[in-house]
Amino acid sequence: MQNGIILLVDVDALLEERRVENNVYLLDNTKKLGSIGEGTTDLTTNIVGALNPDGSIAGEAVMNWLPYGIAAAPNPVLRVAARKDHGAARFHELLAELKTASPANVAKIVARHEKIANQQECATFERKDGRHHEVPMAFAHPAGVSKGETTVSAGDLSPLISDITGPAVDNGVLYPAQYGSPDAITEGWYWSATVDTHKTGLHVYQIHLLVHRPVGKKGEPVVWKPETFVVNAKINVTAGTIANGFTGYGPGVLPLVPQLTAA
Amino acid sequence: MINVKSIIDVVGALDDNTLAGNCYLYDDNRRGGSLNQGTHKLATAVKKGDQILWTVTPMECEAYADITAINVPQDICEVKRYTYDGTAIVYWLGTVKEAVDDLPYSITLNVGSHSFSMTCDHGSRLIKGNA
Repeated sequence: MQNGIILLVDVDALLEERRVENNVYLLDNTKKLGSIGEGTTDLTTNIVGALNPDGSIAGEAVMNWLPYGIAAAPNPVLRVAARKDHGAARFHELLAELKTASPANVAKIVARHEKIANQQECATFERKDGRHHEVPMAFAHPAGVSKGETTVSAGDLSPLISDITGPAVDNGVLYPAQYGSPDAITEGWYWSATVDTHKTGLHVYQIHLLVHRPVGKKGEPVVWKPETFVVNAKINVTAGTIANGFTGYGPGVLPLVPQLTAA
Repeated sequence: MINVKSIIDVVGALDDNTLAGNCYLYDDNRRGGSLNQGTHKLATAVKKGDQILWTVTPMECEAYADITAINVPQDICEVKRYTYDGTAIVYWLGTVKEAVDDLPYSITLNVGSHSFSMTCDHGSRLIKGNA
């Protein structure tokens, strides 16, 4: 099985209080396997390794990390909101131009309107080196929410993980990397690591959590500026010889009753 | 607006046949007086006029969980189901119509690939917030 760890973040509170405790919560899917500290900032994930009788690793233990903002809509919602609906006005404008256009100009008119129709609203993000880049996402009002809530806030955007480091990585217990995911909710980057389950015991690692703060003077476009917070977590690696889950003995054929054939 | 996020351990809930201990509720109003973050006994601090937005996230992205009802007296907190524009992603929005002191409520979910209905009614409530 894969060990999944969720980081749930109150981004607004994290940026205001500037501390991880009580603002970043860790949850994993292995409570029944002995993980402790579920839902707190101090999580120890139990990783159960399976070894062959000769001591070699029978199956890789894999860890996955997914960060979510408590107040943030899923990323696909922000991307869909960026697609502008130009509505009927744009359509009528196109028809009006085409009615009076010469045959030679029709292609040019269509291309110009197509370019406008495909434009997306973008949010401006600042990298750590100060450069800006545009990302097609928009922070639209969810239907039903009071129109009084007009200001975009840091909590509207889910955090990202920018790195996994620490003694567990330095000592070759965790081998982390970033991957792309088609998952409908996270729709993007996530971190995954394989675990060397020969190295049993308690190991500490750090999750580098990247949040963004919207900064902008009145009348100027908002720029999302990055800030990183480090979250400490632990894994407790145990390992045992691989066993058949039905029989409790070594892997092999299942203990099935032989089928009797007619004489 | 106050956001309430439910993280559901779908495998744990189906195995234990209960959401108690398998439903982790969080809101973003700890500074306003909410209590018991990360438990099924979340107490969300609200005042009259506040809006509350409920969403659900399964602990494993391959698992399925969906809110089918927020069970709260409608004359105190009127709730309605929405989907985010252009998507099939659901959220529930409640408007607090009267001041509350300590009002228990429950969340009903479909859990797992066979949409097994379960209700988290083990202690979540709306409470009076900090002044």
